[in-house]
Amino acid sequence: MSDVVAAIGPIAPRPEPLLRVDGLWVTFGARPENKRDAVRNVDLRVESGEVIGLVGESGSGKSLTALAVMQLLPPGARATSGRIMFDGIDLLALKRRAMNERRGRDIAMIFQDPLTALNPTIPIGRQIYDCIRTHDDIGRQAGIARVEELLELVGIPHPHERARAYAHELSGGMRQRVMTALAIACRPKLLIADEPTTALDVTVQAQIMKMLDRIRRELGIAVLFISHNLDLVSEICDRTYVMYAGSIVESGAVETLFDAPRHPYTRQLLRCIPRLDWTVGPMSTIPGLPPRLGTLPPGCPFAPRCEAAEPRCSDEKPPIWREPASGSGHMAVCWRAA
Amino acid sequence: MRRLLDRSRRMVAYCGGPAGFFGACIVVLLLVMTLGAPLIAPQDPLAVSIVDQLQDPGNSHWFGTDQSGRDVLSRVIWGSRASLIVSGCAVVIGVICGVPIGLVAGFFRGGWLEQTIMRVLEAVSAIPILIWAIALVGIFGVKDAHIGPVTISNATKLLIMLGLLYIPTLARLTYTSALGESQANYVAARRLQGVSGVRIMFSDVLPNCLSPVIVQATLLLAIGIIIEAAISFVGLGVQPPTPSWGNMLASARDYLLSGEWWLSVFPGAAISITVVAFNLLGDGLRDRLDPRHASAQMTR
Amino acid sequence: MNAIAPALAAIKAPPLCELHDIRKEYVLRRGLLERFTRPERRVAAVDGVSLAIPQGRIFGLVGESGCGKSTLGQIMVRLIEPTSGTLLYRGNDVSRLPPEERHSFRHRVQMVFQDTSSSLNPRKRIRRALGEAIRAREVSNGIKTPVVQAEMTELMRQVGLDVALLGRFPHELSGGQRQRIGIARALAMKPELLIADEPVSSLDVSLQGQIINLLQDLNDRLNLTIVLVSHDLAVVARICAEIAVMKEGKIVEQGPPRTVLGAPSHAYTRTLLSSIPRGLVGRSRYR
Repeated sequence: MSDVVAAIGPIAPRPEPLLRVDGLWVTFGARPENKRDAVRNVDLRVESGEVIGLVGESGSGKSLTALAVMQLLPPGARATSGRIMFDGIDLLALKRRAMNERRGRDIAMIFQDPLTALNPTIPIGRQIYDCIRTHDDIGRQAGIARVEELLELVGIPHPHERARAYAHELSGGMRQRVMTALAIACRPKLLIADEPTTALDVTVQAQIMKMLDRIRRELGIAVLFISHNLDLVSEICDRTYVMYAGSIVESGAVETLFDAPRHPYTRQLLRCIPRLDWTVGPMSTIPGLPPRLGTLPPGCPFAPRCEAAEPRCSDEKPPIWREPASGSGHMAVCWRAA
Repeated sequence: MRRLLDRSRRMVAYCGGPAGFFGACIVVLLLVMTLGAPLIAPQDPLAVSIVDQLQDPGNSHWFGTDQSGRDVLSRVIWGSRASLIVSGCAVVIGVICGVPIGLVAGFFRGGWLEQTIMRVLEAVSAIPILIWAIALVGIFGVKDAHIGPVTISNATKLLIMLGLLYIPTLARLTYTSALGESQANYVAARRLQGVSGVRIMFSDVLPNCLSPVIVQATLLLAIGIIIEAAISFVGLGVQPPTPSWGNMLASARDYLLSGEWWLSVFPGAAISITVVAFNLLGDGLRDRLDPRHASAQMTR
Repeated sequence: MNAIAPALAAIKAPPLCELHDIRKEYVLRRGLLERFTRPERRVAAVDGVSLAIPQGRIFGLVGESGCGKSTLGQIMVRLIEPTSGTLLYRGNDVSRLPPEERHSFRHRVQMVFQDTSSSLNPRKRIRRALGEAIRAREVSNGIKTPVVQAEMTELMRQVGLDVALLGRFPHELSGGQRQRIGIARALAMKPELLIADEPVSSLDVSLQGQIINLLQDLNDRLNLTIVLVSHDLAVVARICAEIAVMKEGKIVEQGPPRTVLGAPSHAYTRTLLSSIPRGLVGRSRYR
């Protein structure tokens, strides 16, 4: 597997971010009466080689943000505003064919349910081979060798025999590894992982996380890791964005974010995570429900459920607070952050 | 004015889009034509008049007259009865018999009952409906059957037979839905309440299986019209002088090349428009009722 | 003295539900030709499990997917019949009940399901779903509508939901609300034992607490015995008095959470514990 790295070489870090999302809005519905904003004014930055976490619960818009980057939004959803700069090019302005070329080759994505992401009628080795051949002009023997190297890189034992297997013959963890191999087959610069371990058992999850870490180290790939599991994200990510009701509410380096969160949602969310710490008493919970699409109050979307809410939180949009010391990049969108 | 627009927009959405709405409108017109035939038809469809034979469409006969001097327009209007009644009753028979069969097979799965039912249905549906129809009509003849005091006309035989042939399709559709719904947790919850299987089947599972059945029923109506027309065309269906679009086409066969175009165009157009309308409505309903389809969820 | 008496009472009280050497096997289907060529293969989803569920406590059943915990839960409510073994309820063998007594057993044991979207009939309003449950319970005696209405209101109050939700359809409710309705429906049968099969797995973390706290509350107030089936060790450790760890159809370890999860004796339990993400502390794994 080191031949793969040696042949192509590690990717050199660059001065400007690999992925920069500016003011992204994703909307459902075409007519003004039933327009619903699912992603609201999201700014995101991923540098080469970084592991960035995108955390949120259901309805936060985190998956849609990733799908917008990949230009794979579901029917009915459109990116209505903003720019997605990848490697200096605005992806939203690209024609479909140009985007198809980039997808898979420069940016790749792995999903939550590997069974539906893999073709059930084609052996997995063939699927990876086809993917390589689509983007790289490479001979048959070299392609097969690369497939087996990739399978070994993602930790599948006996890659030569396993390449012939079909998706349904593999366990969930194996399938996730195959999907990852498929994604990194063409050495993308950015890998988006949308809840890759949510459907897996905790022991398998640990193995997959180790695999992801190993891949990004050896291949220098940047990873955008999307999850609802804060503990998981804080184990592996360098920086994290926290999303709520379609917008970013807090972001920063993982250590500062989890040790000293500035946004009440992050604080309350952290408190809700059940831990093996032998505490007794009722579990923490955030009262109420996340707002439905299209029914957001003016002001902060979290205000109705926030324990630190003031009257102005419901009326006026909160400002962006940034960490005074430069470089740490910790920011929160809250009136009470300071 | 606004409310009218709103209501019409909602009606269009109800039918699954403008195409479905258009189909629905035609179907409604058709129903009006069928039910109101005695009032709408300008003349008696059976009134023979040697004097008025083969007249071009004109003021007195908008669709012209046929070789016996009968008004084609009135015959087309009355002919809708044959088509719709045969087709409609056949679908009703198919639904009433087929849905419970599929329901039972899907709900009480895993036993000989399910296997037997499905194999029999598959055997019947291996032969296309039209072939079955012609074969059965050939076997049972076209004359009225007399069973004791009851007289079964040929059209009735046709619709019973068609209904029986619809059973496999509808049963299989229901079976597929029932299979899935029976695994759902709400069925398990009802079992935990001590409710009998049969009761769960009818009160819980059945309502959730009906959407695809409704769509299929609409499409089967369209097929029924074609089959009725085809059977009548070959002389095995509705017998003249009772008008049916199919037998009107049959008698127009001899005049295809001699210039009396109105004898075949009007019944033919009636068939085509009706079939397209039912298909559009069925497609629209499918979009509307299929929970997996996006538009079905948008309207919630 | 006052502290010892309830503890003594708990020890002396017989367990509510006992399982003795329960096995559940599934026969793998073979094609027509294979019936003659290959021998029959069986898979044991539950492979010889013996458990005693103490009354009035919350019992936790943990394990990963495929370990058989859900199957075991379904056997306990008798949705599935075990291939072998006995199931005792209050000392009586309920594994093979005559039909007359099966009905009364149904009322004693109820279940709450994991998947909220399929646990309620999408075509029935909540009012009807709950009403049917109440009437099913009283099917032999009959019950008047005003009594049903009153009970419904009380059930909604018990699970902490607004009565106005009774007129809604399931798809109009959130996942957490649906789960509470599922609990309300189970409570409508006035059960003594409630099997909660992964009740919060499909919910957001910030809302899981609402359901878990509700279960704890029901256990406190109604003395409802609960078996919590879950893969989340932290949740189970929090509210269960006793837990059992399952792997591949067998129980590998059993005892109070403090013992099993604090000082595990089985290697599998240790593997489970070490795989849980630990937040910032766990960064050492990757750095």
